[in-house]
Formats: sequence, structure tokens, C-alpha cells
Amino acid sequence: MKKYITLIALIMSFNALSAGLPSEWYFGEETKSNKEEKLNYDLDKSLHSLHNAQTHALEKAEGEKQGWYLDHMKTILGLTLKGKLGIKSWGGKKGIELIWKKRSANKELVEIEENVETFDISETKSVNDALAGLDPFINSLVESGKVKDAGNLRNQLSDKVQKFYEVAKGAESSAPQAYRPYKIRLDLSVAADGSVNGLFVKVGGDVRIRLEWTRKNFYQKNNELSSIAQKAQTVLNGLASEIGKSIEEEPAAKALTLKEFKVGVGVTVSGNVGVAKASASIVPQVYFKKVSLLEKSMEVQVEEIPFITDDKSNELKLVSSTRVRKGFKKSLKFAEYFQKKFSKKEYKEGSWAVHTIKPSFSFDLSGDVGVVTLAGTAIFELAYVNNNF
Amino acid sequence: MNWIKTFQVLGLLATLGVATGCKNNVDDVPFVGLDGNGELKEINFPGKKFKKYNARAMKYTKKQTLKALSQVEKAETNSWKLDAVEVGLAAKAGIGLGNVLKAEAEPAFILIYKKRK
Repeated sequence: MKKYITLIALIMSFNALSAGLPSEWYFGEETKSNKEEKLNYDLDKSLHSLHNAQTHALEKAEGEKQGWYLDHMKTILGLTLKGKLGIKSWGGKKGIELIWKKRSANKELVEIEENVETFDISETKSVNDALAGLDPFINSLVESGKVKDAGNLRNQLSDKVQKFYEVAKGAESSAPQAYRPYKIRLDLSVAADGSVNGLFVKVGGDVRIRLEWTRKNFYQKNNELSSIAQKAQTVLNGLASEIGKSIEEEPAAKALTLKEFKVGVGVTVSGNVGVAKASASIVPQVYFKKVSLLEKSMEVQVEEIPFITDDKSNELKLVSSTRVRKGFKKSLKFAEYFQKKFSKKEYKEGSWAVHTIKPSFSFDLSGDVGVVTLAGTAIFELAYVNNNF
Repeated sequence: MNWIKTFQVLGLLATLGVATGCKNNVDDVPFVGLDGNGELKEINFPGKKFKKYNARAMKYTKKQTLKALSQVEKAETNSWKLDAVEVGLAAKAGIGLGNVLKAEAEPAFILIYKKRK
């Protein structure tokens, strides 16, 4: 009998040592055998060690009572193909971002903007105006010697700005719904030869540029939208509708409040618009959040939402809105799962705590959703605020 | 007019040389990422040691950051005032980590200091 008890204890012990993030919460290019490989790792214990170390260290880094103080700190986590969640220290995609803040401080988190050259096109009336606004920047890069080929840079930026402008126009005239696009961003890096890439492509230089649109007005009906802007409007209306319905059907965990929902929406060479399922590095990021509507809410019925599945062939795949909603709902469920990790009593003590959780998700065209792995492609990101803060 | 200025300092988070002798324990804090070839790089750092090194690194970072900020403040003018700063901390690989050393470290901890008003 004693032998069996020992055996059972050994099996239990082995299982306890093999607990990464459950495979239902992520997927990627990994094989089933990869997933089943046992990990000598326990997610709960590892998170406990991280939390313990971070809160202890944050007290040491607080700053001065007068003058400068530590307002918040971000920890970037990456997920391996075997389900191990670790501190992302090298390349690969971010899986989850944790933002720590002091409990006694102002509960509102104000993130600072990066020091990057930003071109706000919110008030711009035409693509040509937007491009003209870039000229002084291009000239300064050439004068400083950072860019040799101004013509190439102008051509490449022209294409990016034009597409960005059309998506922004679509957002501007998107239907009034509970969740609406309120900001669009596109971060680019510029190489010495004038080529323009997404930030994930290292070009050897350090010139960065951001295109930005923020909602300045309420619903602006526009009957003169270009074909691309009309397509963008349809995609954004569909996404806003499905985000709203998902949240209605799958309310967030009580301990969390959804702050914003970020989705990549791209334009193909042939002028189609879709959610960026492909690994495109140049994709405008559309930020949705709940808004108080001054105008009457408009019901939007969208049967399908297009996804860009291939950068080169510009292939679009229409995904039923039911599947999109299914995926969004799963991402909301993950937040509930993950917040339970931080709802234990031990995490409610101490002067520093996790204030905001930002998980990034991959999306499968079947509607399945998982936390993005290091080698995966992030399609959307949620930002949750901890209500027990 | 206040300017928000951001700069990053790649600092020493932990000298992970001890990782060469680390066993893979359940309370380890893993450091993960992909190298330039897309290969997974992973270091498991014992929880207790991570707590010790992390506290030391952040204390050091605070000291250096505040020192640098006091210098910056001297150069401020009425039209150029710093009111927030972002400091990135990256893990620095130590002895015996082979290819990990070839991978470019990225900030995994980002500290945001602000000036009291």
C-alpha cells in the first residue's frame, strides 16, 4: 500500500512540475508533441517569484519625496511554444505586458508617449496636405545626412501616408456605436537609403516616425469617401460591432475593466482593407474604446469581416462575424483566467501591485484565439485595469 | 511648455553568470526570447537570486537615473522642461551563455519616472 501511495505522490509531483500556460490559451506553429513535452516549470510559482521580486525591487527604486519619483513600471513577458511565460529579454513578440503602480498613488495610469517624430493627420483635409507636412522632416533628414535618397523616402512615405489617411477617413465616419475607433497609429523606421519599414525590421538607423490620427469630432457622415476609405469604414464598423457584442455576451471578470482594444487593420497593394492576419510589419493599429455617445447609436449588421492572409498575394479571407466574436470572447475569458492568478491574498498586500494587464493575441481564421507566442503574430491587444488596485 | 523626453538606458539587470549552474526549478523566473536566427533562447533564474539581483539593479538604476536627471535639469530652459523619463532595463548575459550573447538584448523592464508638480 505504501508503495502505491509513493507512486501516486510521485505522479502528482511530476504533474505539478509540468504546468505551463494551458495549451487551450495559445497556439502557433508549434506541434502537438511540443505542447505535450513536459516542462519543469510551474506558472503559478514562477509568477509568484516574479511578483515577489518585482514588488520588493520597486520599493528600492521609488525615487524622492520631492522631485522625481517612480510612477510606474512595465514588465514585458514572452510565451514560448511550450507554454512557458518568461521575461522577454531578446527578440520575438510580446505576449503579455504587466504595468505596476504604487497603491497609494493616483489610481489613474498616464503612460508617457515615446520621443518619436509624430505627424498628426487628424485635422488634415487631403493626402497632399498630409504629405506636404512631411516635407520639412524629410529635408531635415537629408541635411543631417541620416538619409541619402530623399526621393526614395518621399515615394515610400507617400504610399504609407496615403493608405493611413484612407483608413483614418474610414474611422472618422464610422458608425456611432458603444465601442469606436478613437486613435490610429503607424510606427515606421527609416533607413539611410530612404526605405521605410515597420519597427520590427532593423534597418541599422535610428530614425523613427509615427503617423497618428485621433478622433476630434463625433460622427461625421461623409458621402465622398474613396473606395479604400469606404472599405475601411465597413471593416471598422464590423469590428466595433463585434467588440461591443463580445463584451455584452462575455462580461469581463469583476476584478478587471477593459480600457481599450487594439487591432491591426491594413491596406493591400490592390486597395483591399482587412484585419492584418498576415505577418505584415507595416500595419496601422486601430484603438477602440467605450465612448459616451452624444448621437444616437447606430446598429451595424456585418456578416463577414475580411482578414489579410498573405502580404504578397494580397489575399483576403472573409471570416464570419460569428467566428470573430467567438475569438474576441475567448480573449475576454483569458483575462478572467489570468486575473485569477493575481487575485490571491498575497498579491493584494504590499505597496506596489499590477495595475494594468495587456495581453496580445493571435487569431486563427477558424475563430480560435490564443496568447501570442514569441514566434507568433499579434493581431489584437487588450488593456485591462485591475479594479482591486 | 513642458516637453516629455524619453530616453532608454540599457542597464545591468543581473549578471546571469550564475545561470550556468542553475537547475530548472519550479519557482525559477525564466528569461526568454528569440535570437537573430529565430531560435529560442531561455535562461532560468532561481526566484530567490532574481529577487536579490533585481532589487540591486533597480536600486542602482534609480541612483544613476536621478543623478543624470539632476544634470539634465541644470540645462533646462523656460521652453524646455523635462517632466517624465523612461528607463529600460535589459538582462545582460554573463558567463557561459553561448549564443545568447549574440542575441541583442531588449529592455524587459521599463521604469517611468515623473517629476512631482
